[in-house]
This record gives sequence, C-alpha cells and structure tokens, in this order.
Amino acid sequence: MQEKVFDNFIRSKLENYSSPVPGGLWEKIIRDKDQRPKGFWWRNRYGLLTVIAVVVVTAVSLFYVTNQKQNNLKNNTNSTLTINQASTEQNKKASVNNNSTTDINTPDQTVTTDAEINSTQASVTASSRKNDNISTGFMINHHKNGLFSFLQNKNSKTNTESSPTNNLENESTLFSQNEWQNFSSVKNSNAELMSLNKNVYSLNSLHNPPLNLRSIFGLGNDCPSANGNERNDWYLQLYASPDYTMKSLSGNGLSNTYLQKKDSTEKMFGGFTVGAKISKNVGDHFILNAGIQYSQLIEKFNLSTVNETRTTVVIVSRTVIRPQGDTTFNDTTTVTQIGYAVRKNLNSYKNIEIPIGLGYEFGEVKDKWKVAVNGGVIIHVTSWYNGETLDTSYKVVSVASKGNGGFYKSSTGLSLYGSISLIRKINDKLDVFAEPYFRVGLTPISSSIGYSQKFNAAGLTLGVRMKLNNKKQRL
Amino acid sequence: MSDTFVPYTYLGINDTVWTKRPLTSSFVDSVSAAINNNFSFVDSFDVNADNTIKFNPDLSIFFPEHAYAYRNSSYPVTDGKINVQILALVKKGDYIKYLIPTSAKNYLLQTAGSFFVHLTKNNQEVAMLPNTSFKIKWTNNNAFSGLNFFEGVPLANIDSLFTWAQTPNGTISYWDSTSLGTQKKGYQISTSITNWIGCSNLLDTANTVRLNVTLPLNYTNKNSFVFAVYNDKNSVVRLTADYATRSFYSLHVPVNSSITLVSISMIDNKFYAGTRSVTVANANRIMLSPVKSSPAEIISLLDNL
Repeated sequence: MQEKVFDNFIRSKLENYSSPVPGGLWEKIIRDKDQRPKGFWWRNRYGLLTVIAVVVVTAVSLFYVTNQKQNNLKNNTNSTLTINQASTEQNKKASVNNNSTTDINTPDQTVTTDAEINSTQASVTASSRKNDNISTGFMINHHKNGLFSFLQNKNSKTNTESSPTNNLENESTLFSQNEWQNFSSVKNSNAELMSLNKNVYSLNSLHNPPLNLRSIFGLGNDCPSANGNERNDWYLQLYASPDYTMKSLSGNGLSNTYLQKKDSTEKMFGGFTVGAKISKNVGDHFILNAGIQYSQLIEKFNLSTVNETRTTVVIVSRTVIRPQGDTTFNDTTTVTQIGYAVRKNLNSYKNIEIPIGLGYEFGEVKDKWKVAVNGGVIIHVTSWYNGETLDTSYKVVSVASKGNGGFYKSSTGLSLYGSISLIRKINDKLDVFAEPYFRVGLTPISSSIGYSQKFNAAGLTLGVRMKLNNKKQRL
Repeated sequence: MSDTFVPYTYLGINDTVWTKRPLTSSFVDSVSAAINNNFSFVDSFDVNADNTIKFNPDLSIFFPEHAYAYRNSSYPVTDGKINVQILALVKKGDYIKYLIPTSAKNYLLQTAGSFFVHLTKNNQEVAMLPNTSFKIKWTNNNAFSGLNFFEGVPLANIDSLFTWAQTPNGTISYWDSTSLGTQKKGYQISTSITNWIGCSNLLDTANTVRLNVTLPLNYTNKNSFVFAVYNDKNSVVRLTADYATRSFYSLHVPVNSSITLVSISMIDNKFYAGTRSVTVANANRIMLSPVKSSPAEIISLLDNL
C-alpha cells in the first residue's frame, strides 16, 4: 500500500495532462508534404550521388547527434527528477521541495523534486513515466512560480528561490511522519532499482524516444522552451578559394586525332573563387545559405608546332672600313627561319554564380571549434571566356566571348558541390572557417565547332563568417 | 601570351653567316647538275681519218687525222677511236645552267657562243698536237663581227671556277650560206685548244657603274649565286660576293643597262630562285627576294631569259 503512494501522487497529477501542440504545426506538415520533390534525385547519376552523399551525411549526423544527446542528458541533472541514493545519509547536501497531494490535484500544478547531487553519482527518475513527453525541466522553468508560491505557503520558512533547504525540515511539514516514512522507503527502494537500470530509466530515454528526429536534427521539441530558446542566427560569409580544376572533353563526332591534339595542348591550371553568402540557421544545426560568387578557371594553352616557317623583316646595318672613309650600309631585308614554335596562353573561363546550399553544423553554437558538412547547387548565371584553342584544322583560334560572336554556345549551367567546414569561433560576432570542397559540373559548355567540355573543381575555401544579429539571438 | 620560336640549328636555311672562303666545287656541281638539262653530245672518231661530226643541224665539228696525243705524256695517239664530248652554250640561260659567266676579270663580255670540248681515249685525256686544229661550226642568224677567241682560264681561291681570257690560240670566222633556198649565218672557231673555248667581244664602256644586289639574310655566299643577264646583249655576268657588305656586286656595268637579275640558291637540298628586271642607273643596292622553286621551274625561267 505504501509503495503506491508516490505513484498515485504522480498519476493523479499527470494523468490528465496533454502536451500542447504549437500552432501551425499541422499546416507546416501539409505544406512540406506538398513541396516534397518526387523522383528528383533519380534524374541522373549526379542525383544518385547526391542521395548517397545525403545518406552518408545523415548517418554520420545521426551517429554523432545521438551520442551527443546522451552525453548531454547524462550531465543535465537540473532538469531531472532525481533522488540521491545517499540522500537519507547526507541530508545536509540535499534539498527537496514538496507539496501536499491535495494541492497537486490542480491541473496546472506538478510536483518537482529537485535534488542536487554529485555529478558522478548515479541519477534515477522517480517519475511514473505515464506521459513521457513531459519534461521536468520544462515544468520547472515555466511553472515554478506557482509551485514555489504554493511551497511558500506550506513552509514556515520563506524562500523565494530554489536554493537548497533543509530537507528534513521541509518534508516534516509537508507530510505526516507516517507518510514520510512510507515515501522514504519507496524512495530508497526505487533508487536502488533505478541505479541498476540507470540507462533504461535515464531521463534521456524518458524524454527522448529513440527516433525523436526533431531532437536529433536539432529542431527542438514541439515546445521551444524545452531546450531553451531557439537559435535564430543570420550570417554573412565572405570567402575565397584557390581551386584545382579539371576538365572533361567530349568530341560529339569530332575525330579522335583532333581531340587528342586539343587535349594535349590544353591543361587546366587551377583557378579561384571569391564570393559572399548569407546564411541562416534552421534549427540548432542546419544552415541554409545562398549568395553570389565569381569563379575563374584558368587553362594553360601550350601548342608546339614543328617545322614552322617564320619570316621577319629586319634592318641590318653594316659599316665597311675603307681607306677613303667608312661607309655604312643599311638594308631593310628579311630573314626566314624554320624551327619549332611554342605558343603559350592562359585561357580563362569566368563565371558569375549563385551557390545555394544546406549545411549541418556539429556541436553547439558556443563551441570554439565546429565541423559542418555542406552541399548544394551552383547556378552559373553568366559566363565569359577568353583565350585560344585549336580548331578542327589545327589552327589557333580565339575563344574570346567578345568579338567573335561567342565561340561557346551556352553561358549558363549548373554544378553540384559538397564540402566540409572547419569553423573556429573568434568571438560572438565572428567565425573563420576553412572548407575543403569539390564541385561537379553538370552542364557541358558546347563550342561552335562541335566539342563540349565540363569543368570540375576541388579547392579549399577560406573565409570569415560574421553574425549579423546580436550575439546569439533567441526567439 | 607568349610565343617562343626556336630555329633548328642544323638547318642551312637558318644559317645567315657569310664566309670568306669560296664555294666548294661539290656545291657548284650539285647546283649545276640540278638545273641543267643541256646534255653533252658524245661521239667518237677515227684518229687516222678526217671526221666531221654533226650533232644537230646547227652544230657540227671537224676533227683532222693524225692530230692527237695524250695530254699527260704527249704520246701520240696513232690508232683507234677517240671519244669526243661537246657541250654548247648558246643561249643566255645556258650560261647560268653551267654557272659560267661571260666576263673576263670583272669586264663584261658579249658572247656568240661557248663550248666545252673534251677528248679522251682509254679514259685518258687527249689533246691536239701543235699546229693542228679542229673546227666548230654553228648557226647564229644574228651573227655580228668583231668577236675574239677566248679560253676558259682556271682560277684559284676566288669565287668562280674560271674566267675567260682572250688568247691567240684560236680564230673566229663567219659564214653565210644559202642552202636549199634558205640563208643561214653563223660562226666557226678554229683552234687546237680543248675544254672551254668561246668567241666574245669585250664591252669596254667608259660610263659604267657598280651593280649591287642584296638578298635576304638566309641567302649567303655559301649557298647562292646571283647573275645579271643583259636584256639587249648576249651577256651573262655572275656577280661576285662581297663579304664586307654581305652583298653581291658586278663592276663595269654600263649605266642604264637593262638587265634581269637572277639568283639561284640551294639550301638544305631545296632550291630557291629570285628574279627581277631593273635598269642600272646607279650603285644603289637592289634587293632580290628568292622564293622556293623546283629545278624544273628554274630551268623554265632560264630558258626564257
């Protein structure tokens, strides 16, 4: 009979409790459902690669976040209803706030037992877990005024803060001697049981079911205040990157000899990217970003030709020494030479692009070091070119987009990119980051003489990330 | 953008250096052989009989009997047949084909014909005995008087194989006959001298000028010949290479002479020819611009001078 005192107490308090649902949640679910892409990822192999990348990133995220949550919750003793195993022996170190069962019957009121314990000691829950969605920490935060006012009325000792009090004194005023003895024995027996099963009955499992994706993805609980205020950060990123660039060439019916010759004369010579992005967090970990960037791919054109004949006009001056006086002869003449010629040029492919991406940041905002994985698309808004290449008759022709009517047919295109960021917090307003990345060109650039080429790149983006709002703004 | 050009050092076309040494005979022979489509007439005759060999309707040669001896031993050739090789230079282009000028020590000659007569027996050179002579008769309807006998005199250490020298070792006569109603005129040389012989007259004009010709730098005195072909005379002058000014020149050119300059070069076994018609009024340098030409093209050019 005595064992059920506490359970009855909790049951009577929580059995009619229902977790409030945020307004607009269902509309948001409907909207997301309608906007969900159908089969987009299977259009080509890049879509498949993207899906694979997302799956890998998600798996890593799940693994990391799950571990991170467990660690965090283990140490979060303030938000748990705990009973110190040794509370009866170390009453001076523990404080318990109680109220009577009659007052608990009011729907908005709950009972909280907040025990300060050594973090190395095992913590167990005394909750009946009838409703797992209830967070004790939440209740303390939002309803402590009612609870404490109640307690203040019950206690002869005035205390407006949740500072530790003399447990024995308080308990004796709230319960009768018999009630307290029964409750203490229940506490002790439950404490022993729960200390043996602390993993099972930890508050982590109590408040976060194994597949609570909102928690895993850092979107918080339905009730925002469960994890504190929501992150609402806007960032401006300024970055630059040296790029290692690659090119793939397609002949589209042109002869292999020509393609080999062209390929042998052109070699990608790196490039660079500079740009700016605006970023906005979605939840505590996801970051949406979009911006504008300028990228330039540099290609080395190196054409060696043998048996090339060149004729140069020269003026030669010769002085003939004669007894009657020196005579100088000036001849405008020519000289023809046969040799090999090496023609070098740096071709450049310049792009104005819009990168749109989504990133996931590991760690907390306050962390000094963070890692993020990012992915997205790069839209080539416009491109222009200058340089030289070989035409199908092996003559050097200009590829300047200005002046010869556009050697390349398309100036727009699409690329995919992925990256991993290492972010170092400098202060509350400023981060610096290094971001190894790759990009895969999806849209080939077709030339007017038939061939087409795609460009890929890998690089190391270095930049700064400035927080646009004040420190860490919370909703 | 950079544009690097590296000439092949092993190619003669890229060698613009002039030399102070004369052309090698092998080079001259190679050029001559490539552009020469004139063939020698070859025949034989009995040493113990008078012989007239008619090579074509316009050229015949008479060899007397018992008039020959081996050149090296002076031992008479008493029997058997002697082989004869005769080469006739009649047109102006012929002189260029054989790289033979019509000049005598920088003085211009006007020629009516030059011949190369070579006699051999048993692969030994044969010469005429003293006080004997053979006669070459050829047709030239524009024959004129005042010609003299010239011999080709070998030269050493200058940029030519030989020069012409007027000697008393031969005589020039004219003939004018009507045969089958057709009048023909021509010349006859009577001489005991074999090898290069000719009939010419010296153009000794008081008012002369030096002719200076330049070529592009690739064409040097190692690989090029330059000729001045007089348009109104049967004269062809081979210009002398001037190392100091890297040019080719000819002295004693009559002022206001109408000439056609012809250059022939052989570089890396490829031929280049340049031609230009000028009137020589002064000593200004005249530029020739050779172009790549085949031997057949050069022969055609020379035949039409």
